[in-house]
Amino acid sequence: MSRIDALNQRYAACASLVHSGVEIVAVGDPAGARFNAAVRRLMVLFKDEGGGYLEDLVGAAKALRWRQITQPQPLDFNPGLRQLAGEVTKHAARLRGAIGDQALLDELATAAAELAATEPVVGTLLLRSCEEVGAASCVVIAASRPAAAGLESWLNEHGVMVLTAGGLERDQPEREQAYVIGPPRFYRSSLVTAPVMSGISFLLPSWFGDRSVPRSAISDYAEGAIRIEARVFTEGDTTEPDWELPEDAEEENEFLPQPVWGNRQSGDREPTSEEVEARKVLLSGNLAMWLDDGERIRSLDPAQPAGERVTYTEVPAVRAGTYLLLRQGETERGALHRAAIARLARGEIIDQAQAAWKHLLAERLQESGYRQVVRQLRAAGIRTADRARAWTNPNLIRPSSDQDFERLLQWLGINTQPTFGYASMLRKTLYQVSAEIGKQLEAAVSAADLSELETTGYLSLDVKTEGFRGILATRVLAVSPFTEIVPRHDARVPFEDRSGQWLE
Amino acid sequence: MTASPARGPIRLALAEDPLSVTASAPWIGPLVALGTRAARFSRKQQGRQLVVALSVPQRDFAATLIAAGWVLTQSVTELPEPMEILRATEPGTVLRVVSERDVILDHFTWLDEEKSPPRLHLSSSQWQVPRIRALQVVDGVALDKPLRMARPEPGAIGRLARMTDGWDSRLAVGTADLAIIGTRTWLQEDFDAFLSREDEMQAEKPKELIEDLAKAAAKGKPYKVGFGHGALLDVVLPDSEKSATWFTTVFAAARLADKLPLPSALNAAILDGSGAIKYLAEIETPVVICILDRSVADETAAEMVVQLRNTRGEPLSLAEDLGWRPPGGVEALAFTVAL
Repeated sequence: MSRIDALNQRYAACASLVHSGVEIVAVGDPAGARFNAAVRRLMVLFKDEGGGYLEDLVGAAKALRWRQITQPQPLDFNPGLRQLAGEVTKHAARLRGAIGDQALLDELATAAAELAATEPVVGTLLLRSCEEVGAASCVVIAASRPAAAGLESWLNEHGVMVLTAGGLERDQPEREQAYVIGPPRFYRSSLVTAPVMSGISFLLPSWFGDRSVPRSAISDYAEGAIRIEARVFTEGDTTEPDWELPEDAEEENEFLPQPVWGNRQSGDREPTSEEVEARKVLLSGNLAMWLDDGERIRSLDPAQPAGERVTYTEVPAVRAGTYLLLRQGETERGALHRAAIARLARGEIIDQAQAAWKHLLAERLQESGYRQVVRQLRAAGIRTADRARAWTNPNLIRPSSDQDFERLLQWLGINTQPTFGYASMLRKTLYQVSAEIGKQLEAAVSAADLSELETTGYLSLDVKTEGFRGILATRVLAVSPFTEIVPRHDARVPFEDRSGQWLE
Repeated sequence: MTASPARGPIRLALAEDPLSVTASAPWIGPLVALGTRAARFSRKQQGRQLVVALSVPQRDFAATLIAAGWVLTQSVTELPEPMEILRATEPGTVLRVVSERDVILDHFTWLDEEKSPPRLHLSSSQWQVPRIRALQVVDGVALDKPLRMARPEPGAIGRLARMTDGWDSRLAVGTADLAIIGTRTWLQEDFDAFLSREDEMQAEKPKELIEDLAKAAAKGKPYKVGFGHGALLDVVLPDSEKSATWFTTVFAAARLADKLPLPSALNAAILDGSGAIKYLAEIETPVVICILDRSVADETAAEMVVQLRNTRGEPLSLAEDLGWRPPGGVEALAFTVAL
């Protein structure tokens, strides 16, 4: 099929799905329902009491529940399920006497053991459906790479293709029907908003209550909005245990494996001029980094063609799945700054002029506090006033808007010239140096095996230039929901950290 | 562009091969129409920036089709006769000359009115003036060496939009008020497609196309789309090192950070994909059209657009204000922001 024929079909599949919707098959799963009820009670306890001592049990219980939904293959093909059930039992046993509700601990252990001894109902239905439709006409979609591997080990014998959602997008096999394992909300919205085929069915246990279908991000405001409805069918024994469960709907985050972030340690103070507010970012390869809200960070998009992969990402846009390019040792921006100053005839003077206005700004922030300063700057007509703290960073040369910068200098009581001119010249030079380094990075990226990056999550790049010790491409696993105050020179330098191990 | 929701759209087809007959699809015509509607709206609306965001199942061709619609709507300047212009031109001036087969950008040396027919002498070629279809003086271009390209042919879409009259004037004037920002490699592939009307007869093929097809066949090499073949390349007319004229400037999104701000002469920017849309706040052209690719998992770009709309935008109705409805599989919104 030609590229354009495939494209026409894709538009048609989308229109068709808007019209007829997706199918959701909710399969009765008493053993899973029992375990889920116990986990929810545990989560209530965890929220109320906090306590690091519960973390291991919570982690294991959530991982087991996640696995049960996403890998419904027969027990013989799912040794990981038994192993996780064992972990739950072990951690429950360790907590004997440590928490008041011993009945809950017993219930968790028993329910986990029952799960590990019951053939998954969703798997049975899945195989039957594939055989009815014919293996050549269908494809099974798994929620993650490990889930795909698990399902594949079983379904290969039956000649059924298994892909992740990302794999489906990449390969676009000519199939009529997709069987997706898990609820719609476990998947990227593109699975339904940009469907590759018009027959899509989700298979999940009936105790999973949230059957909402994700929408595209603009659909709330758009004309012709792509809103996919779901037709729900129930099968099998849908009895659920009689516990009194909390009313509030569980968020998706409750199900997804998540790092435990704890709480902000830095208190309520303002950072000094040698410090920054930064979020902890967990990276593939057992690394982490403090990411401050300064200028953009160098990143990589493996989906782009050669020569156009190395780009920049604004700090607020960094999220799970973004690939960052980090230098080991010194940060790139430090090197860029030095190189730019070295290139300019009056580099030293320019550096001093920059330091002067930034220092003044930092002082005002210390004196009046961030919020007060932002208010004053807004009153002075500065549109991007909320970047005030970021502007004290020596590596963020100047506000991007000319008008904002002029008004900022006025507000600080500094003459517009020569400071404005110096900053603009420095920025221009920095961009030139950055473009040159970008080219070298592109060359290194082109020479690398990016498929390895996608499977393992990180990759060392070979940059053959003096002054580059090593560039690491790594995938962001998670970004902390709160900031901490850290020393400025620690920002953006990767360090070892194993908190992300559940996430890969 | 005569497609209109009231009358029912003219069904257009896309093909990668100039000789194949392809089936039309209902999503193609409306995307071209969006370009024309945005152009017409922007002429009426001054002082505020029009932002249109649409999401498509897959990015392919969307930016190119919208760009074609924009270009089709540009007004044609009535140019004086070539002789009139030449008589008033100083030697050394850069001229853009449109002949039957070529577009040339070169320095004017002298006009020989002694000969019959009169001859135009450029630094590296000469032309019989009556055979020049259009010419224009070009200011502000530093030209090291002359540039020459095959004369672009508007092809089927040009005939459909009745652009064939005045086409040569357009080429001579070369109003480049449109920018497309995205993945350059993919955009260049998109430009190579041919747009036609469903069930169109195999109308006159451009001479350049026929010759290049023959050359490729003779050498046993695959056919490669070039200027003058009547592809979308000729309508959108992106700039390139060898271009003697162009209507559109293409920026690679990955390199854009180092090229901002965009030249102020631009009237419209099409941001193709999240790599381009992340610069939305820094684009100040009167019209911005953002194309969101729903097949890509990351929704940051869409969130940015929504945030801009909710914080600084005044929403518009596409149906009422632009007279446009998205086709099946496409969703869209529009708003204006103060510049």
